[in-house]
Amino acid sequence: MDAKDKLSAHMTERYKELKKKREEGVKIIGYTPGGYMPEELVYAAGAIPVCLFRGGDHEAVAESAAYLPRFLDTFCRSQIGYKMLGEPLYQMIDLLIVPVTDTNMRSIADSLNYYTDTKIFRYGVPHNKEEGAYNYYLEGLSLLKEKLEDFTGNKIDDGKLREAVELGNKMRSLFKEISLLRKQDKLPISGQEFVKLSHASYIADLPVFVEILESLLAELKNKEGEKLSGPRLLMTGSTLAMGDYKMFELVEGAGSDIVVEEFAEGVRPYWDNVEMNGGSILKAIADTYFMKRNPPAWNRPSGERIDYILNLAKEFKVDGLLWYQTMYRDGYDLQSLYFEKKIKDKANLPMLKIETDYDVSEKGPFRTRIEAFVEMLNQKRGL
Amino acid sequence: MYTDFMKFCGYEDDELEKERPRVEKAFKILGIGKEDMAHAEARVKKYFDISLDGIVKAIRVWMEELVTLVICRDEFKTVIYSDWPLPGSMMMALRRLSDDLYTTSIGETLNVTMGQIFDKLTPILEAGEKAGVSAGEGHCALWQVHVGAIAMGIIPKPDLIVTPAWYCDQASEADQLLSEVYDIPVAYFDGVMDDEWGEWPDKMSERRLRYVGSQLDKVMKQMEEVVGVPFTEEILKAGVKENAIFYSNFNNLVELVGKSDPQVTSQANLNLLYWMSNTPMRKKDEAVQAITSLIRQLKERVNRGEGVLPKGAPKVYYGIRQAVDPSILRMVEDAGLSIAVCQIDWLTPSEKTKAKSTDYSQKIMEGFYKRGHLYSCQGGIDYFSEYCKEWNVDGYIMAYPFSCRPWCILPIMVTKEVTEKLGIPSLVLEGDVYDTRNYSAGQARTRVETFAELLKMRKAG
Repeated sequence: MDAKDKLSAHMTERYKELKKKREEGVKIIGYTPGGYMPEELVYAAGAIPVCLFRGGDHEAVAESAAYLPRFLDTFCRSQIGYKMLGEPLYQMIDLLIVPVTDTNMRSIADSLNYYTDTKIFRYGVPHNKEEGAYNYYLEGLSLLKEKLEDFTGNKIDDGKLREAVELGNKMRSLFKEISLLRKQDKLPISGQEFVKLSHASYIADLPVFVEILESLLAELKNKEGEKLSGPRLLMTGSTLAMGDYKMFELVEGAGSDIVVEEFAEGVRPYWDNVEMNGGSILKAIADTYFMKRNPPAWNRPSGERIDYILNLAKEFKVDGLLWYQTMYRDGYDLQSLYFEKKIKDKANLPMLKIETDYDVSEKGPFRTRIEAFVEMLNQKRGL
Repeated sequence: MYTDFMKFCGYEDDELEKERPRVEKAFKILGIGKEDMAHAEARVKKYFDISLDGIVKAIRVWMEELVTLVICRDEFKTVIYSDWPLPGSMMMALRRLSDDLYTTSIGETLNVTMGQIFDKLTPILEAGEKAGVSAGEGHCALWQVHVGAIAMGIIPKPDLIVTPAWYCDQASEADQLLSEVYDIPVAYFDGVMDDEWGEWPDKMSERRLRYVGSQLDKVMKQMEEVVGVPFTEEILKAGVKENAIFYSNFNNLVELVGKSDPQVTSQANLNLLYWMSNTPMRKKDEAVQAITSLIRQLKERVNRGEGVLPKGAPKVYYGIRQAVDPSILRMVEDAGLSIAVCQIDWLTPSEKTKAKSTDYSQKIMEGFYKRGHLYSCQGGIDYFSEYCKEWNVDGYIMAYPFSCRPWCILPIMVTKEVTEKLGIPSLVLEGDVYDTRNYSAGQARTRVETFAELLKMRKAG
């Protein structure tokens, strides 16, 4: 059985496993995506973290209309939809943790608070990396730690936390190594496969998942990848939800691929490990999850994000950028205009902006636009 | 060409010679010609009661603000812009730093003048859309105006924009766009909205107050660096006091109009004053005089039993006030509904409680947070419900700004609470406070009239 089969088998059984664990008294802690919720704290409290980030189905968007206005971000609206439609994972959680990054993300917590009996814990993520902002985030983690201890009845001691961080670091390192393989001309793993791997990591059992990643890395290192005939793309944007893979299908269908991605939500940050140098582990966690985190659109000013993307584009030798955002994600939409100009001016990279409301009718127009973009990039490459 | 219009707007005869060149210059930049002035005059006569001295004074104050904004680079060394929801008291205080400094809320100023008075806001909104605050994306039109005015060049580029990032994302994202595209320095007043459900009003987060308080201090420092004069707590306190005087007088006006039966004047008139509450007007003292004059004249009308609606008309709580178009409130009144009070016009009992914060900056932000919807979703539900209870209204019209991300979550929840728990019939109207291109009075009329009939029947037993 190769690594992919092992992962597939694990994920098939995972929901049953979570249900069983819950029946045995283990708390299932849900959280919203964004990269600001250290799962290490949940593991150290003897609970199981699962990320709630399903998306891409219009049914959930339609369901949400009874509870939320349409002018909130599509992904965030979908979340109450999934809960009300009875999506299994959404019914399974004992506590939902919401790191509040922007108003749209906050609406998930507010709508679930008002319309359901979901227990929710919020903590804020400030929009800059100043000292006061860092301290605020760190305080939020302390409150989260207290909440988890209180909720699970288990003390989070340094030993357990260190163990969880070490395992988390191992996973991040493996993701990084796998991702870096995509710098090669011959790609051993497609963009879609990589993102699905990232998505699986939000639900899978961590020790099992790390073993699978190790096997996969060994396999990929020995694999003769395929040289991509079309342009190499970087995809960035607000949310890449679990189940929302249409961009990959369309890009692959046009003879291209996404060789690296940067998203606020839905792709696990893996570039930096938590460096434990004998000091406070919580501080070390905050350093990685907040200070080193590549800044999403709501981090202001946006210079760091632009530089970060430019660097990724250079390192992964991309020919163009895909900007993929969910509808009404205000922060991303407002940045898209000057972002495109900056990327063009600084690196002569063309950008295509695609915006989704998770509607099936979008696929046709998206295909035409992506094919035209790929063709334009091919011409630029002299093909 | 300008004299008659200036007189109509309340300029005194002895001011005309001095003010005419300023007005002429500003109007040329704004593209306001003879026809626009005629249109404005007819519009003002239609929607505002210019037989009231206070209304004419208010128009005069706004015109002065508009003219000064447009030509501020000719008259001031330093220019700093802001907009709601930045604390108006802080911006009022900022004005005191130097006579060479001009500051205002550009969106609010343009909305009232170019919107309510001249009905010429659309080109500015469209310019904002072209500049990056795109159409069809549910962006806030206040910030379309903010960006559009600078993109069009009808107002000068400032030395600094102070942007309120503590409540929503659009404000600071739009200002960041101005920074990236037009090279305008921006000071970000950050904040987080991470309340626990049920915290408001008694258990508001102290650490959150500490953070926003520190952000207020931070932007004060940034403004101080631009102006070159220390921005002390004493100056801040003076700004708070000045704003409080205005607000307290406005509160008296709101109570007078809201409690009068028959309703003594149209709520559209109060539109001209409400939007001054968070704008650092240069003539705030004259704005206060406008209110006191209005109160005096309206009291006389109340004593004579005069009103603009039949006595006993159903009273509604309406929100939120329309910033750019007085016809919407008029339409509600034409349907036979007396608007007792509009959202955030008035200080609720929760707002009047003593501040717990001891730090002055935190105290200012605590004041903001006492307006529940500015603190949390749950706070918004309870705060708006409190209005309905306190005013004992017959109905609630929740006209909500569709593009306001923090606000738009509330209507379904609030009206559910008000209807189910307080037994007050409610109507939700999707709308836009800052743009009537898609949400006009005509579009909402049928629904409001039906709601009015329901309330009248209910009241008649």
